Amino acid sequence: MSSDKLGLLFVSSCVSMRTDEMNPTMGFLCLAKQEEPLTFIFAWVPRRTIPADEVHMYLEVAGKTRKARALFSRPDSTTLVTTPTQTLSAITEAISAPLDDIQTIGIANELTLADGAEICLVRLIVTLTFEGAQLPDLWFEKDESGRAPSIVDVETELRGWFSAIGKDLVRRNQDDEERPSSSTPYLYDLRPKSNEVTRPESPHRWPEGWPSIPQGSTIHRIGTYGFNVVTNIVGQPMADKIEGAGWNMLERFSKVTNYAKSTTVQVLEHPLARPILPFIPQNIRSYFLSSGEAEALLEEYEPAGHYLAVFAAELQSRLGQHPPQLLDPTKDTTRDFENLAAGRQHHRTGRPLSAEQWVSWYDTEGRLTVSEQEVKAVIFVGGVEADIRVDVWKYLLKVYPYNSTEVERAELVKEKRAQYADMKAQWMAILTDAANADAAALAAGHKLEERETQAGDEKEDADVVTKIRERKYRVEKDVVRTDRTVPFFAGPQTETNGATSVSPSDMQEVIGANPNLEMLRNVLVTYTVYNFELGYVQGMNDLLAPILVVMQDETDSFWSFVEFMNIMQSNFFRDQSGMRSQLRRLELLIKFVDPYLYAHMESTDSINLFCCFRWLLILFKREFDFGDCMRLWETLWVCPLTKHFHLFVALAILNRHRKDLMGKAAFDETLKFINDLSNQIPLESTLERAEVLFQVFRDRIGETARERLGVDLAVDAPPIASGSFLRPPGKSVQRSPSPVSERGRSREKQRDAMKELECTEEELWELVSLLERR
Amino acid sequence: MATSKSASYDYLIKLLLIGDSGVGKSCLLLRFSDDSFTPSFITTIGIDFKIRTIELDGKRIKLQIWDTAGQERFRTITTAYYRGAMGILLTYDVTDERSFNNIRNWIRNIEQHASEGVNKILVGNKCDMLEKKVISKEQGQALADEFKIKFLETSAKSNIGVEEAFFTLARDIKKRLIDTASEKPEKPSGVTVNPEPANRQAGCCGK
Repeated sequence: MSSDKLGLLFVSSCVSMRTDEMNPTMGFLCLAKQEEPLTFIFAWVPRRTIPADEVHMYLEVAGKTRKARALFSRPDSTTLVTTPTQTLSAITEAISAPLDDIQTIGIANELTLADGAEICLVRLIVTLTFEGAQLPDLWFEKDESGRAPSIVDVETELRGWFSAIGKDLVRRNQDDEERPSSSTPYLYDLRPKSNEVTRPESPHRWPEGWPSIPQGSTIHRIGTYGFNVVTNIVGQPMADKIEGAGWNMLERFSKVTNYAKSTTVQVLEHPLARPILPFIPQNIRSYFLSSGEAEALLEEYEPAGHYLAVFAAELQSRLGQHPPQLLDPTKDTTRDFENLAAGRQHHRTGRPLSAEQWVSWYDTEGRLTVSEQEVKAVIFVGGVEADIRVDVWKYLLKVYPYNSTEVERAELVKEKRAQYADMKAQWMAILTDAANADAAALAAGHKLEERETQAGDEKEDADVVTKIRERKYRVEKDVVRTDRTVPFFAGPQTETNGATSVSPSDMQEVIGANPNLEMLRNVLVTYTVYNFELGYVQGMNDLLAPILVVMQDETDSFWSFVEFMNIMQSNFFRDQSGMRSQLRRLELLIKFVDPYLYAHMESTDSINLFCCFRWLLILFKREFDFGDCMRLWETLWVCPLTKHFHLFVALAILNRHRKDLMGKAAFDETLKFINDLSNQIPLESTLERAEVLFQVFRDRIGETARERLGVDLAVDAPPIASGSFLRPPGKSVQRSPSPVSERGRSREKQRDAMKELECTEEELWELVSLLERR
Repeated sequence: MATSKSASYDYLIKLLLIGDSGVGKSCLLLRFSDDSFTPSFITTIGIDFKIRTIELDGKRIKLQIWDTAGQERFRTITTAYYRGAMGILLTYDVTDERSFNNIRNWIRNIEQHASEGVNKILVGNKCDMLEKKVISKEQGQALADEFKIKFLETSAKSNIGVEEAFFTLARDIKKRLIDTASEKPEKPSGVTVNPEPANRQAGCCGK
């Protein structure tokens, strides 16, 4: 479609696509022509994609078409409109096929809904020569007069259209015997007028050996269709293998593509393949959807997943004779990464954001010229180089607004500096006063009141002075043992700190001897004053240390830490509710993605996941060295997929070792194994795995939510590499019509063996929340 | 590994280290299990344990010693380990008065969460730091007497009293659970006797 303009010959104005029965997308069905070379095109263009100044043209041609009914002749002049497939936004919705590529046209009566009532409409099914590929179904809706056209009306109209350009619409299945039910479409071939060429038989066929399904049923259509796509992509031998395997179609599809990646790309890059893209499994799609355009193309095709899910689910229930084999779960490999990840791709392929690139993004006023999302997208695929973290992190942590100028930031820094200095001076003064009062009391011969504390924590009802004093004391106890092997916090090697643990009376001295330890202490104590309710909890020191190393400045560290803690603070709540819910979510994630591992961990009392407590509490700080930890954190901060990506990192580590974990006979063994992983975890491959596991999760929860919760999550992959992100999934869930009945029931039967491991609805809702984005 | 035959032992005894943050629980454990000491130690987050098999009266006893975070805020996870423990080392720092005063609170925690009759020993760590010492041996002994438990001063750094502390506690447990059990016909309540790897207690969260 090279030419700019498309000549509209005939238009029918009330034709819809009904991906959502309740809410059909209205559009125009057109017969159009293109010059040089002269091509006739059968197209459907959704109304909302038509440029405002062109809508009247469509309506005008539609009016003429209506008037010419039954007496069509080729119009002398054609109305030129913008080719709908020309702009990116339009291709994603419009459907078109050159007439030469059309194999058959089918029309059928089918019951559907309109304005909430059941109605019989004519459905149009266009099959392409692309081995049985079909355009999405179109529907002839009620026209302006409120009347829906009958089959005869549609047939007459189309016959007239094609006749005007020298084509005959020849009905294939004339006899009623060939139409087992009234909803079986009448099929028509398009033939040159007065030329009786017989076309080869349709390549449609229902795979042999598959349980028979009424022809014309949704599943039959999609099934044959899907099968044909696969055949076309991978060739017959492989398709036969798929056929043999039958069950668990989606996963098989993805494996197939491993063998045929290049062929897949070739086939699917053909413009003709566009309309069928949505019907192709995510696994396959991800192979060829590297370009931003292709991603964008798919965004609009929400029904894809839906159809596919229906297809897969139906197939599974039909193939109930071959239930999943639940052998020894410890030997189960379906949740091994290789099997989960087949056909999927991670995006961790970029290089760390370099100083050169970063600096080039600033304009003369020191304002970033790229969007927050673009910055994040770049970092998500590769991280940040160490030398610019000091700057970049402030944006990532929202200390600096993305759209700020250098002057504005200088102002902000000044303000924050004063604010911090104030807070710090405050607690210092309070403690000095208290110490003076104590000294005076002692000098006067009074005995100091013994401060009562709770075992290992501050008393909740203590007064402010006592609390601050207590907190400083606890902070200092931890400061002297925070990352002392890292050069920044190590020195100096005095007699007191170098050789042994530090007694309380030495703490001041040790800390005073290293300005970096002093910063660590001051920021932590100031934070406990700033967030007075929360107080100091062990682990905060771990979260602060890398920030301090990056910032090398007390004030900057403080405000960065404040922002970091905004994300992390629930982990430190006194009632431990934050940690409990984190562990709970990880537990559910394991249950959902890897029920075998879940079952094993449950049977060994390990499913409380106390073994992962440290991972989550301090965001894997102790599991990686400093450099990797920083790389991990910045990746988590920018993750466009979910704000719970750290749980997928945890899942990735567990998944990586699932065989080992399956061999652990008791909780203590599991714990020991996991604790010993510390500093043995390769970061990059773990992140890659985490992203792929997220994809697996997203697809499955989408399907399960549709099936079990009756909601359409409308989640699709945000194109990470291109930097433009989709709308957040949010709560904008829509009810989708349940397309195939009994599916759920028969599926349930199959899964009896694992039944107790099926997530409850409540658990599913909790899992759905893991799709939340930041 | 549960299946590992090399870890042969007659009894498995689970111990628990508790006490304020920074008193040296992890250092004591490292000294006892690995006979080493790290000056720049880190705070314990979550839980961990170490193993050492000792011999008492010709019996091989596997000690599984659980180390916990000192801060009360983590009690959800730490108290889960109280119940499975057969013996508890209550630890304070002889240079830190608060940690000593807090022992009473820790004992209260034990009464709340640990199984009845659990063996206890009071340990005053860092006794090598003579100049900084603020809690005398007598004070420690007096507190131990008050609760009718044994007491020892230790130094993980200088390896003073560490072996003795763990051995003393292990011996007391053996006496309470194993020796008395073999006199009586009833089965020992808390001790796992080999060979029964399949019936081993799963961790000591006691759930």
